[in-house]
Amino acid sequence: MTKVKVGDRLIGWSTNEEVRSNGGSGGLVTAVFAAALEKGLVDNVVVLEKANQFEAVPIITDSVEDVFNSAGSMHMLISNQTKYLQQFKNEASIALAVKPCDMRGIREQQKRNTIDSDKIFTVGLNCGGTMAPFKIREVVESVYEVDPDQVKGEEIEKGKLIIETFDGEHHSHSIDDLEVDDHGRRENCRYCTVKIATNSDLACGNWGVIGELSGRGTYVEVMTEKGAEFLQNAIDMKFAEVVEAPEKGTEIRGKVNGVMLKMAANTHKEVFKPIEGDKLEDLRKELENCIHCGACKEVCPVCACGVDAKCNKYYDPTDDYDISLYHLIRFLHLSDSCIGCGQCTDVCPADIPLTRLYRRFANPVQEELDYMPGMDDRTPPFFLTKLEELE
Amino acid sequence: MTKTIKFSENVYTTVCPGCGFGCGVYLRELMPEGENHILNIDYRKPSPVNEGKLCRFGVKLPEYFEQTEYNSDSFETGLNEKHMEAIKKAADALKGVKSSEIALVSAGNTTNEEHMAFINLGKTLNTPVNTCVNHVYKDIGKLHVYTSGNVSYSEIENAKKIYLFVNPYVSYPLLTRRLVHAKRKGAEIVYFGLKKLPIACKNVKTKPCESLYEVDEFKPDSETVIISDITPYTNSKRISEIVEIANPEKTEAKLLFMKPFVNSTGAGHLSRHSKQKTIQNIIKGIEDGTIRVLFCLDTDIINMCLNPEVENVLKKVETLIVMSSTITPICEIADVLIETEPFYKKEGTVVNSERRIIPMSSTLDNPIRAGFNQINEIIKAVGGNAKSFEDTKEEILSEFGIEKVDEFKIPEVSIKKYDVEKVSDKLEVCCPADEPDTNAKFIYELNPFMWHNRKDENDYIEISPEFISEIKLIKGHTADINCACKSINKTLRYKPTDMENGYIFSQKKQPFAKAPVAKVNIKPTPLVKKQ
Ligand SMILES: Cc1cc2nc3c(=O)[nH]c(=O)nc-3n(C[C@H](O)[C@H](O)[C@H](O)COP(=O)(O)OP(=O)(O)OC[C@H]3O[C@@H](n4cnc5c(N)ncnc54)[C@H](O)[C@@H]3O)c2cc1C
Ligand code: SF4
Repeated sequence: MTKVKVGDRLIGWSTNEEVRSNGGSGGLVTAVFAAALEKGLVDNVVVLEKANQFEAVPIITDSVEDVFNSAGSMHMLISNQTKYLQQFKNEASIALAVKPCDMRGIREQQKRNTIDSDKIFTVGLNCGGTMAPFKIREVVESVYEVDPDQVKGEEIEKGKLIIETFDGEHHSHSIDDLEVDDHGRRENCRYCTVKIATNSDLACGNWGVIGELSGRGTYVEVMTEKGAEFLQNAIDMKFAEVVEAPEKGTEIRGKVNGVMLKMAANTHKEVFKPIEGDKLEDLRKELENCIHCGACKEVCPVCACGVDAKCNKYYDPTDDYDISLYHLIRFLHLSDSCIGCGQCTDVCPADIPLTRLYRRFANPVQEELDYMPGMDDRTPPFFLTKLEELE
Repeated sequence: MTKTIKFSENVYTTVCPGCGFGCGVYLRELMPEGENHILNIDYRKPSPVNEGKLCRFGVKLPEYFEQTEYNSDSFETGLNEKHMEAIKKAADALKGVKSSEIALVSAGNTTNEEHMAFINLGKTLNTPVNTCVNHVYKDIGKLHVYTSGNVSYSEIENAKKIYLFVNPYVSYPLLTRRLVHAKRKGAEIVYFGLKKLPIACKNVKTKPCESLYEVDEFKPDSETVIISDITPYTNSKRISEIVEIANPEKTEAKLLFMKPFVNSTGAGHLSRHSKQKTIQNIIKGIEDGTIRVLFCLDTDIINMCLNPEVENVLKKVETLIVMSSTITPICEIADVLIETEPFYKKEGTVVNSERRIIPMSSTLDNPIRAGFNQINEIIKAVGGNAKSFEDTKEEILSEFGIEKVDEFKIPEVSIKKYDVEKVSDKLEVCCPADEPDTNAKFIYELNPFMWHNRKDENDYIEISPEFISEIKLIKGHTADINCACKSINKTLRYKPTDMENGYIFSQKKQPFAKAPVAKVNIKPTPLVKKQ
């Protein structure tokens, strides 16, 4: 095969049979990471240290073996990798797998100079949505009637959440049905409009892998020069093999993506129905249980304000405003940059549907400005200093 | 890509030490080669307790640990000379006095494993481990059955009626979301207190000393979940009345008593058969010289007490041994200080307020058990039989009647009745009740920041808008508050809050109030004319 180049659409897999079968769809991503480490293209890879099927933590490693052991997809790891990466303060070179919203956060931080794109290599994983581990644990017990400790693996296929138990049995339920009771994907995932991480170096997923390669290969779209270099390296080092993606596969990938986006648009319409009555009172009610823990700011992948943030500066705990300035400032401040990743909702100790509230402000602003944060290379519209002008 | 710093990383799956709620959290320890470690938290979303959410104390855990931990790397290679020297001194002091002259205190700020080893030390020395919250029971044998957790947090969500005696927003913030869920499902939430809480459907004015027999709205039945708490400052009469009126055996009402320290429930359970002293008795014993050695395991009595004079009393004890994972005020005055690894590095279990046994682990190949090993070394030095970590774990499992730790299942524990000394059921007030020169009652809202003596931006008082008008506080200015005897005065910012007139609430320890409820005088700070 000729050298890998930007724009290539390929199907790839790991040459290591164990990795290939443990991988989410053929182990290509693992192979690319392992080869990059071996060659010294990066010093570290972020792998997942799994406690069980419901619990894993990202952790860096420089061991190829750890990378091999981390093959597979975790649909219940719902944190955003942006904050994780920021801990390293650009002092480490790191390769990592990212969901589209992880990458959107990273891209926004690159614009804010907190993450150096030269120091990271990203493989984007297509993402149809993630699920909160505590909810799925409950569902496994109550809907699947399976002991959660007996779960060996989980998989999403054709709109179904399939649970595999240690006895080899497969138990499946339609995700749509689970979502009726808010037990499927997180709400923001249901209306998310980026399913393929074309904002990363390599965009990988199983959509479009057909025929005998189905389940044993990954569809990869080469998005950047770095992506081409890393994939070529894995092939050269015999960690991975690739073939050109068949046209039919590409067509299917596009179609599935289209269906998913249509579903997301429908959910979007439903979630963001215009508020009837007093909008301000509605907002006040939603926020009345806030305990001002600040977790929503801590986890926000696009916030880069630090401790002197405006939302904190203008918030005084002795104020008795009906709606705290902390939230009002954040809603406005993030309206150009919110990526709708759901992190704020996930960590709120009062279960305030924060992402929904942020999006209420962000939807019209981003539409009006024709700006999609994390997918758009332009400087955030509210910035005074424009990256484009500096260049 | 350019070559950069080498990093390694440990992740500790641990529990927030802020309060007895038992929130699961990951503590991330990032170690850049040749530099100090950097701590960060990750939200532990699979935790059955908090599902990844934390309160404002939990969110700041990295800062808490960074500011209070001892050099934690020093524990990774086992106990060093400095540790062994402190252990020897502690053992010598314990051996030099009679059993009755020793007081061992562990309120539940460490693991079950360390607490159990401490009990073993107590057995060797023939003295009990005191947990310090026992003073609240009027009749411990009767009440303990109900106060050790008999309803889970998820049961709160399905309750039809919830009677609240704690302000969840301040004292146990993670209760808030459980209550939000319950309300969404149609629960009627009634708050018995002096504030108006947004979460409550009904706020029933109930004074701290008021008898519940006189509160008509307190009518628990089989559909009621009652949430209160037990702290070193709880009014024991209130607890007795809750249990008496609710009479769970008859009405089937459910009771949840929140606890202030991460392992208060575990420590309380493991120490349940011992004849314990109250904290007041211990302080009295030090004052009259009957207690000569006080050994505190991760329990800072200075932080715990609202009255700062306790520090001077502690200085009087012949030997104060402090074993601590955090740098706290009591460490400063200790005669023997045994430093241990920070809480997040501990391996073992804790039991939260709903009686869930939660494991703590790490990605380390060799777990650090410095605290546990240090207690064992002391046991050996005083001539006892130290038990291995594994045997201690087994013993704990058997105490809880389970075969393995499973944080997703709350074990049924039959709690036997036991005795402690009876104490006064009156709520302490710092000044005589009929003090003429006071115009308000000051009440503490206990919370993790207060228990752990942490810097807190909530350094203000809360007061009703009507009271603000009455005493003519000026907007944007401060209030001056002094205690009834006028010896202590402090200027504080105030927040108008929907609450009862004539009361003042504070989430922070204030020098003018040395008891949970205190009579004070409040007035506007005089406006000083600018030159
Ligand atoms: C949450 C999620 C949803 C997905 N949804 C779709 C979909 O709808 N359609 C589709 O075509 N493909 C989807 N994928 C991608 C697909 O499952 C495979 O990951 C992809 O095809 C690459 O397969 P692989 O065998 O080459 O990867 P592997 O060799 O298995 O490597 C995957 C790498 O990703 C890491 N990883 C796993 N889970 C996560 C996570 N949650 N966050 C960050 N890193 C992680 C692993 O540690 C490993 O390093 C999804 C993946 C995830 C994680
Ligand atoms: S202090 Fe209590 S409520 Fe707050 S995070 Fe810690 S354990 Fe949870």
